[in-house]
Amino acid sequence: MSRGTFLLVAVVLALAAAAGGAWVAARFAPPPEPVQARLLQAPRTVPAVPMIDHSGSPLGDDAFRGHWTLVFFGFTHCPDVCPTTLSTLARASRRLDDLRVSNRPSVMMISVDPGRDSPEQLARYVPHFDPSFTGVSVAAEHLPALTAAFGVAYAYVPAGDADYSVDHTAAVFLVDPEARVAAVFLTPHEAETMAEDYRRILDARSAG
Amino acid sequence: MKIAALCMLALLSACGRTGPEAPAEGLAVRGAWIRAVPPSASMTAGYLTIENGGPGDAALLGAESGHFGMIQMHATVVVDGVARMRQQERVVVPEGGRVRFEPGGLHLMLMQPTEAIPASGTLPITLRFDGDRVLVVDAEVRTDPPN
Repeated sequence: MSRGTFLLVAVVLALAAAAGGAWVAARFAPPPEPVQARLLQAPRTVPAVPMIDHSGSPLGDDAFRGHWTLVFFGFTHCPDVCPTTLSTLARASRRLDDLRVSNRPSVMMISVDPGRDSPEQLARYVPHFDPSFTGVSVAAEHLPALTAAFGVAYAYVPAGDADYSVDHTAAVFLVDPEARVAAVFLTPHEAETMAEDYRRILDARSAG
Repeated sequence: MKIAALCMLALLSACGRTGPEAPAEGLAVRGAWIRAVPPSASMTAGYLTIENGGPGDAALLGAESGHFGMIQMHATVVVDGVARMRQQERVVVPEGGRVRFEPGGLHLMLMQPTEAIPASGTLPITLRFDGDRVLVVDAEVRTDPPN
């Protein structure tokens, strides 16, 4: 073997090893961790409580099954946090339009103010931010069981002219296709990070 | 006619100066905007940045608008993940400093819309500071914060 041929073979072998290494790393390395979202180590199943969507239809036990869902607990008499979060969710959702339909998240705002948020009121409010969004009404007696599964707190406080306001957990939750609360996005929310984290969680799940 | 109108304008502005309300010298407001909300919404929020070139600290005491029956200043405070709104009686802008009203923080709570909140355009808001100083800003109605 001439010295030239030897060198060529060595270079080719080195390149092949590097490419192989990169392939192995890409194939078996753990997927990148979410940046903002916190994955729940022990995902809780969303309990089946009676829920009504903003068109007035009851949501069955399968409301959270077979697709990913981003869930926010809010109310329509809310000037700052709720419209801000729904706008952010609308932007995040648009950033995921390239995913195939079955991988795109549904987005739900569950009202913590059943006294004022009828399905009709939610219908006039939630889809305004994105026509695909669903406003969900849950009767006051069922809210505690539902919110407890998410770790959501809410309280009614007097608020001047608005009669009362609702203090509420401002986090956004990701429910997996098995209806389990898989991750939580704490405030402040940022649409791009939220969308990228969603992709990371989806990738991790399909790799696992 | 034009001259008459100009004279009237000059008179009016002169009245403004000698009246009980003084222009807010040294104060500037930037990036005022109002969150576009569904027509059914009973309230929304206004955001802006107040800069105080001085002299002296300035305190924002309240705001008014012909489009809303009531405006209050609130701060959203997140404690243990729970968002709470707390009314502010006054918001101090230190001399040489600025205060931002922004989503998830300080905001003008715009209530009792006199008609449906428009989806675009601008709405005037009158800001009342201590020392009987007032500043009128045109807040842009928009879906997302300006860059």
